[in-house]
Amino acid sequence: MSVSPVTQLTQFISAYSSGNKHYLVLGKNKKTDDLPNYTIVNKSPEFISEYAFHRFKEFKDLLEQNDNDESTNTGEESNQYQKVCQEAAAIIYADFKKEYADLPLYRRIFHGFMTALGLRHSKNEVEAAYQSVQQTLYGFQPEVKLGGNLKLSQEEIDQRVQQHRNPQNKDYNKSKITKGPLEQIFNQKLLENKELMEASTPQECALLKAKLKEEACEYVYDNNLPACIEAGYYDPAIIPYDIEKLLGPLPDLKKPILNSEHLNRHLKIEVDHYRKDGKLSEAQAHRLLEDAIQVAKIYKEAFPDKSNRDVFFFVRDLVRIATYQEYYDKAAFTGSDHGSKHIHNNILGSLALNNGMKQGKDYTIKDQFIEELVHFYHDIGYSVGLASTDFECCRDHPLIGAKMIEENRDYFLHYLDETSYRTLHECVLCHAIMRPNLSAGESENDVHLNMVRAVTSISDACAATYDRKTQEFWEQPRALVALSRLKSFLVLFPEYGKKMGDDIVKGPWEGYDDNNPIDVMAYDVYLNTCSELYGMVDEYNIPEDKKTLFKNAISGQFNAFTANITLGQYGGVLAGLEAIPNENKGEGEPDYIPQLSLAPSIAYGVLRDLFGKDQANAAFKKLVEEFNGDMAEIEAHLNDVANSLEKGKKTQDRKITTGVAHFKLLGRFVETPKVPHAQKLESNLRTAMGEIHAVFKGQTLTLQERAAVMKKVEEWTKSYDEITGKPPFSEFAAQTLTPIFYFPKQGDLSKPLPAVVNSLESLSGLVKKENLDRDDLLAIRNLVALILMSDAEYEFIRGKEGIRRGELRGQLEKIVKGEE
Amino acid sequence: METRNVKEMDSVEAQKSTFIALVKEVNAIPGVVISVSEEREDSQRDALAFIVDSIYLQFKENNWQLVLEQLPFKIHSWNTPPDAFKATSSLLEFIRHLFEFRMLDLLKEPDLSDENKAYIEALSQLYLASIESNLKNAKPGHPVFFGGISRSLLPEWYLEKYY
Repeated sequence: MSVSPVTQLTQFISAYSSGNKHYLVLGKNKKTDDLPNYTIVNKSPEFISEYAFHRFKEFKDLLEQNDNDESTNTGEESNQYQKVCQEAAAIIYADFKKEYADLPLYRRIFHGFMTALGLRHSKNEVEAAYQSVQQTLYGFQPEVKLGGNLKLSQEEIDQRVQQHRNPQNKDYNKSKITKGPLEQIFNQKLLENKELMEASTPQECALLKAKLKEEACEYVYDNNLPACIEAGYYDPAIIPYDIEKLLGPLPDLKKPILNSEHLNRHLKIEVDHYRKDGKLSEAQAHRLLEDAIQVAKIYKEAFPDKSNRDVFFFVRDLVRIATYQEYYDKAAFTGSDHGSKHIHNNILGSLALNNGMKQGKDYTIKDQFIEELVHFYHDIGYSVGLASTDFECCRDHPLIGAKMIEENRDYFLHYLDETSYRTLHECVLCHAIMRPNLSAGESENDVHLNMVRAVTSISDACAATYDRKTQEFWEQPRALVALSRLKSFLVLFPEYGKKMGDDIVKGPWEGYDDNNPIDVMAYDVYLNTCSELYGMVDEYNIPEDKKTLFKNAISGQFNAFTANITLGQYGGVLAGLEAIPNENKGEGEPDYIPQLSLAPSIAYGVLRDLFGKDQANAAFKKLVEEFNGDMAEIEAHLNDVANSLEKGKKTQDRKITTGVAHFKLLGRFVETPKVPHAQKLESNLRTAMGEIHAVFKGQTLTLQERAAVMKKVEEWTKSYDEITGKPPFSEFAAQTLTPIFYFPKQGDLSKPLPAVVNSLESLSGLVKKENLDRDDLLAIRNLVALILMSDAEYEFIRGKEGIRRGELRGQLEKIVKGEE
Repeated sequence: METRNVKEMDSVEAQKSTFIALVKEVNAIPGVVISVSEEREDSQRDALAFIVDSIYLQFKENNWQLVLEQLPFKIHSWNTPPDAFKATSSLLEFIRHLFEFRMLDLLKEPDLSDENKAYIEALSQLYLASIESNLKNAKPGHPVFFGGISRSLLPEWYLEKYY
């Protein structure tokens, strides 16, 4: 019967400790029959004979095999293994200490022992292995946990988590902070500093504004946030327990982590667990593991005295934080991704900025480490229950996240130090305030607070384009097409934008009129878009609980605003971020200037032609405005570049300095990174744009041109005097309408449907009618919109279930003829 | 009034020259201002190009030069003495006549589908109704809006701004 490896080792150690020679085949220098007399021969510990080394090595191999085969890794064996390791360490340590009190010598011996087992490769890892073995005395749970300072019963925990996820009081409007007292205090400070700002350079002005806003933020954090927590809107302190509720309790660490390889392997096991559980997709798991390994590596460099075990526990918590955020990001259409995609791209952005600087002078490894922590923690505030239904709560997320960090101060002090904790807290609290001051500033305990603030806020501010910002849900072609349907309707009928705002999720807007066919059509378009999105979710290959979250987000938050914001992200790509030395640096100005490399996306042309340049340029505009720049300076160049690209021609890159940043506008499409997710995203975008373009390619007027006509119709209806009948519709028709209609030429294949012809005839009747009333004006307006749409466009916008075009026309004609 | 020797110009040059002359005459009508250089679309300016093009098409087999040469004089006569209502309403009536003629030509095109035919008729009706209403609503002493011609009926030299 084979003996288990654990038992083998137990026996071996037991024999060794009793000096039983049967288990010790001695090497070149045989011992006498007396008790072992340990000597060092050729710098190797003699008592560890070749046989012993060989046996330990075999044992190590067997253990590694067992590591990979989870089915043999029983709890009992794990406990036994722990005890055996402790005993082995104790024996070796005690024995050597008896004879060799000189600890460095001990470490050299331990070094040899570990080398033989192939378990270490560096002095630091010897130290870490020694510490880890020693620390096994405390067991395999973290000494300090997130949420550990709260001493609550399980019942109290459950109650608070429930309240945090489903606050009873949902009327946050009166208590909102960012768009409430924070904005007021900031505006007051701007007024007080108006003269100073007017006398400052743009750089100085931007820095001053950031400083004033930070002061306002810190004030409301102390004075307004506590009341919101007290009122039960959210409970930042309970977040760690909510994480535990979602992801399960922290699993025991079954084995000591002796080196980086072990560490990374354990992190992979952790990430894989959430992937298999459905909490993370393949792409999310891939990104998160990459970031976790990177953070662990840099943690060890920044805090070399931390054991591998502590590193693992701390980074494991980051993995859980990110997975938790990824999960609850599904529950809200906040306009941006706040999960692994965002964290990953922020980290890349920070690294890119640091890359252009001098390590040691401008930043340290510790700075880089804290930057990455900031990116993991900064958006945890979006995960609260209220954020899935209230956008004002979303705006307050930095305050909520900072509070969670404050509530876990002891935890962060254990794993970091006071300076790092303070820096992390401040950067999370103020991360939504872009501080464009890429200068090292003062250093405390190897941390440059100013640089960390600047790098993290700039990196976060750059999340404006679809490759970095768009939530996973909106990356699907079907979702994009659905958004375009809604947007197309809103281009022609912009007044419905406000009507389909936040409250549309509760039902039709105030003043909705069943007898107004366009009101009916508008609501139909909205409902059909939602229906299309629900259908997409049903077909998604994800766990049911995630599907429920998505559906809740649609039913609770999807509106016209979502369509505008999301489509706006697709116009551009952020190809690069750098820190460029500030060559003309004046006093008080930053050492480096951020440079953003931007390019139009493959969707730019379609977005511009269909929805206008404002929609196509939205992502660029957001970025430029973040850095206090002037979009007009960028727009002209952007237009040139886009026009050339449409004709298949590349142009020269252009560098424009505006506000506090340089913008490098690339004259080519950016090659998609050879990463599965990015490739898939581009493929989805092409599919969606192709489908949308196919609908609108046959139009006689672009949507923008039609929107311009509709605007003139509105202006005319508003100026029309029912008593005098002036200005007459005929004048409007001649000025605006009749010039734009196209007379088919010989050979033209265009075949306007009878509905169009009839609509035109109705319009003719209206032209002759004197003294139009309000119903006539509405009918005119709606008939014009109907005429201007091709049949394909109408079908696309209306969706499968909405009112048919002929039926709609009929209803409008009844109004015209006075039959309604 | 300026004289031009249209006979010596080719057809496009002649049309462009006539167009410029018409603009000049129309600008003499009180309350009417048309610019040839302004980028912004101007439906009344379009209508003048339509007149020139329609006359050319009607008479291109027979003395088109002569007829083009006379057009500016025609407008001049409507505006002598200067009278905004009389000049512009006469101009609009003239345009209506040319438009109806053009529609007849369009509807005679071979292989015109029934749908396109119905569409042309409906569009024409819309435009003609607009003219009728504008004339009816016009006030003495004030110019009548004489724009409204579809841009699809305008000549290439005008659309490309080669004037």
